Amino acid sequence: MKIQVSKSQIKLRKELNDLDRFVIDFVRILDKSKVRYVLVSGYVSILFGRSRSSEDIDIIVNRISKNKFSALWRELSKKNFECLNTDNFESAYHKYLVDRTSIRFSRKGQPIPNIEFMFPKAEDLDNWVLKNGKQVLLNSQILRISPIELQIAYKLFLESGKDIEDARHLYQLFKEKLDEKLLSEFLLKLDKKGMFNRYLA
Amino acid sequence: MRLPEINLQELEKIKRENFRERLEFQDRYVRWMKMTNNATWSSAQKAMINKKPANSTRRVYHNHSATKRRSRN
Repeated sequence: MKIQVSKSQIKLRKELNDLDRFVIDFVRILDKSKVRYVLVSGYVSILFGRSRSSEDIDIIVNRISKNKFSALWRELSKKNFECLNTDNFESAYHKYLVDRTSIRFSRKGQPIPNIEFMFPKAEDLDNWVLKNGKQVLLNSQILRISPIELQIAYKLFLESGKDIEDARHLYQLFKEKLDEKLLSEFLLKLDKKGMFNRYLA
Repeated sequence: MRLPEINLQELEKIKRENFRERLEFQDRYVRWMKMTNNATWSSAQKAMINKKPANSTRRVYHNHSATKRRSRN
């Protein structure tokens, strides 16, 4: 496996699967609309080869104005995406996003896979992730993901079998390249040192 | 109908063993990925992920969600 990890970027070339293409199509619209985002949770493991699929891709989006969201909504619709929660963008913005509830976007008429789109919920943590997201150059497309160190600790925090497996996959793959201090700090903050020693170390 | 005896301790042990085996498999899988070129592992991953849901399922969901959306707006 060839993967280049530097402080600012991870470079990966792979044969894209449908989930990768779905994510790329969606984030291209975010980029075009100048909306800052970060991919978190399961897709980060899948991006790096985890042997499972997912029905949803979690994306944290910087809180944007209603006008900007309206423009994004139109662009998404033009590019064949629809919101599964509501047809009304005002409702999506006020009743869901501002109220810290996610909305889901999928390709029209095809509910899975879908993007779970959210403004920061755990404000301090999510804003940190948005600020410190890592760039991935996937073939020729740039994606922004949560730092691997946080992903590992957070997956252990979630605790399900699937999440522990995701954490272990990332750890095994990147262990020689991780910022150990950062990982250790997140494990401490999330109180998951014990889980780490039990399942990953 | 006679239902089977269920030994919860035994089931818990099996569950733990299955999970341990899953983690071992994962380690083997990552070792394989690391030794394999990107085209090969990503092609295998693509074959697993690119399984489409049946069209009928999509249609049923779409009709259902259209009704749900109208009621929430």
